[in-house]
Amino acid sequence: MSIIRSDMPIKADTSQPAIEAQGLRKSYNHKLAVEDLSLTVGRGEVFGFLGPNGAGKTTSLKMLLGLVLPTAGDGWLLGRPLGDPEARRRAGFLPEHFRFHEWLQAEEFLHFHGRLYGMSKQLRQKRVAEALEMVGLSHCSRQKLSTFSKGMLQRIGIAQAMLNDPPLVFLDEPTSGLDPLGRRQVRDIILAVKERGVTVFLNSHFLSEAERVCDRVAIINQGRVVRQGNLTDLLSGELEVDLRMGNPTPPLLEALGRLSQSVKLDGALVTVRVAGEDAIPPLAEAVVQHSGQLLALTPRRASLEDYFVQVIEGGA
Amino acid sequence: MSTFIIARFTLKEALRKRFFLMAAIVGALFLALYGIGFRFIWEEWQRNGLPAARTAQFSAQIVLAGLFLIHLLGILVAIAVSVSTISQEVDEGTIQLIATKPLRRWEIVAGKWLGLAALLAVYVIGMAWGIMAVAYYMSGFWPPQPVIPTLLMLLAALSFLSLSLLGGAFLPTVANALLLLTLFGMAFFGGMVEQIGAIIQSEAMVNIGIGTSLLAPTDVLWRLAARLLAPSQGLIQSPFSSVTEPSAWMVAYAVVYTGAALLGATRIFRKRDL
Repeated sequence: MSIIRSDMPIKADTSQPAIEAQGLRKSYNHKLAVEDLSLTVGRGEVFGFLGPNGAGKTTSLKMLLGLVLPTAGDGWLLGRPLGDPEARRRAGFLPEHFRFHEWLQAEEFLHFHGRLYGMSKQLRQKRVAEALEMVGLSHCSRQKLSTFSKGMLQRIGIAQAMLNDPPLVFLDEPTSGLDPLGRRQVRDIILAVKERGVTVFLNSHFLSEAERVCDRVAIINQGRVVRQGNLTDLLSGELEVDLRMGNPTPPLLEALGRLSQSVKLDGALVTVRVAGEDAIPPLAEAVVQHSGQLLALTPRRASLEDYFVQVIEGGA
Repeated sequence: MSTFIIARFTLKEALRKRFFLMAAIVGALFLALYGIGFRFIWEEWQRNGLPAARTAQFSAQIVLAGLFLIHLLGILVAIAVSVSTISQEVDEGTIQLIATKPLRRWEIVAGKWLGLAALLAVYVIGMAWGIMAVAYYMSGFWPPQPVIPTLLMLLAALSFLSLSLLGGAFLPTVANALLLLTLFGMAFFGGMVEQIGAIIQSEAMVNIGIGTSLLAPTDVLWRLAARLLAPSQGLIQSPFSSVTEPSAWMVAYAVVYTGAALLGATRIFRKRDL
C-alpha cells in the first residue's frame, strides 16, 4: 500500500517489538486526530490502548494497520514498515462497529478471509475448524451470518482475526455492545489467546476488562500518548483511603490535602489519594490533631479506572 | 491472485443476492414481449404484402431498436451494480477486514472490476444474442456481423463500470450515481444532437456530439455497432441507426478511457483513508 516508504528500514528479525510507533501523526484538513503516537509493544504482551472518546484510539490503530495514511512519523509491525502486506499476513484484526458480509455462512466467511491470507485449501479447512472451535461456534458453521446474534458475530470476528494463527492481533473494542455474558466469553477468548503467546493490541473502553487481561497499557488523550507502562507498575504504590468521620472541618480537610494528592468529600466520607502505605499513619494523626472523630479508615489500591480518571482529568 | 479472489467473491455475491436469477427472469420476460411485438408487426407486413427486400430492411430496424435498448440497459445495469460497491463497503466497514489482509489496495478495485465485468458480459451478451435469436426466429433476419457489435456494446457498459469505480473511490454513493447518470444522459442526448446535426448539416451540433463522445464514448460505440449490425445501404434512417460514420479510432479511445478510469480508481483508492 501507499504508506510503505522506501526510506524506511525493514526490521524483520523476531527480536524486534511486535509494534513500534515513532511520532505517528494524523490530521484531517488541519484538524489534528492524532498528534504524537509513540509506543512500543513487546512480543507476547496483551497491550491495552485506552483513552476517552475522540482521543484518537481508532485512528491510531488504523494507522498501525495501514487503513489510514499517517501525515507524519514512522512505524513497524513485527519489524516491517506500516502498510507492508507481509506484516499484515501475520496480523489479525477485529474492527470496531464491525459489519461482515452477512449473506455468507460462517464457514464461507472464514474460507474467504483464509484465501485472502493466501492459505491453501487444506490449511484453510484445518484452521477454519480450529478457529470455529476456539470461539465455540463449530455447531453454527453452515449458518448465515445474518442470523447471528451480536455476540456470535463478535466471536466469528475474533475467529477471523485468529484464522492465520497470527503472532499479533488487534482487537478494537471487542466487547462493545455485548451483554455481561458475551463480554465474559470474549474476555476468556482473549485470555486463551494470551496463553498461546500471541501479542494482543486491545483498544477498549472497559477499563475493568483491560485491567484483568492487560500486561501493559498506554493512555491516549487529545491525540497524544500521555502514559504508558506496565500495569502493575502504574498502579503500584497509589492508594485511595476512605476516612469516615463525624466532623470533617475545613481546617482538617486542608491538612489532609497537604498530606495527599487529592481529597474528595462526600458527606461524612472523605476519600484521599496517597502515594503509598507510608502516607496512611500521618492521615490518622492529622485527624486526631484537628480533633476529628475518626470512625473508619479503609485503604484500597487504586483501580485502573481511578488511575485513568486521574490521568485524564489531571490533564497529564 | 488476490484480484481473482475478490472477483470470484464479487460474482458469488451477485449470485447470492439473486442478480442472475432476476436478470434471467426479467430478461426472459423482455425477450418474450419483444418477440410478441415483432410477431404482430411481421403479420401486419404479411397482410400488407410488403416486398421481401423491405421486410428485411424493417426487420433490421426492429433488431436495432431492441439492441439499442439493451445497450442502454447494459450501461444502467453497470451503474446499478457498481455505484455502491466501494462506497458501501467503506461506509459499512466491511472493507476494513479485506484491506487489512495481505493484498494491495489496487487488487481490491481490480478484483471488483473483473467480477462485475464478468457479470455485465453475461448480461449484455446474453440479452443481445437473445434479441438477435428472437428476430431470426420471427423474420429470418440475422445481422451480417453480430460479434463485434456485441463487444462494442459491452465496452460501453465497461466504460461506465470503470467510471463508477473511479467515482466510488472518492465520492459518496448518491453523488457518484448523480455524476454517472448525468454523464449517461449527456452521452445519450449528445449522440442525438450529433445525428440531427448531421441531417440538417449543423457543424455546431455535430461538434457538440463529438464533445460529449469524448466525455463518455458510449453513444459513438453504439453507432459503430449499429453500422455493423445493419449496414446503411438501402436502410431507412431511424433514431437507432447512425447517419454519420464514426471513426474506428473511437474504439481505441473507449478502451483507453475505460482503462484510464480504472487506473484512476486504483490510484485514488490506494491513498484513501478507510
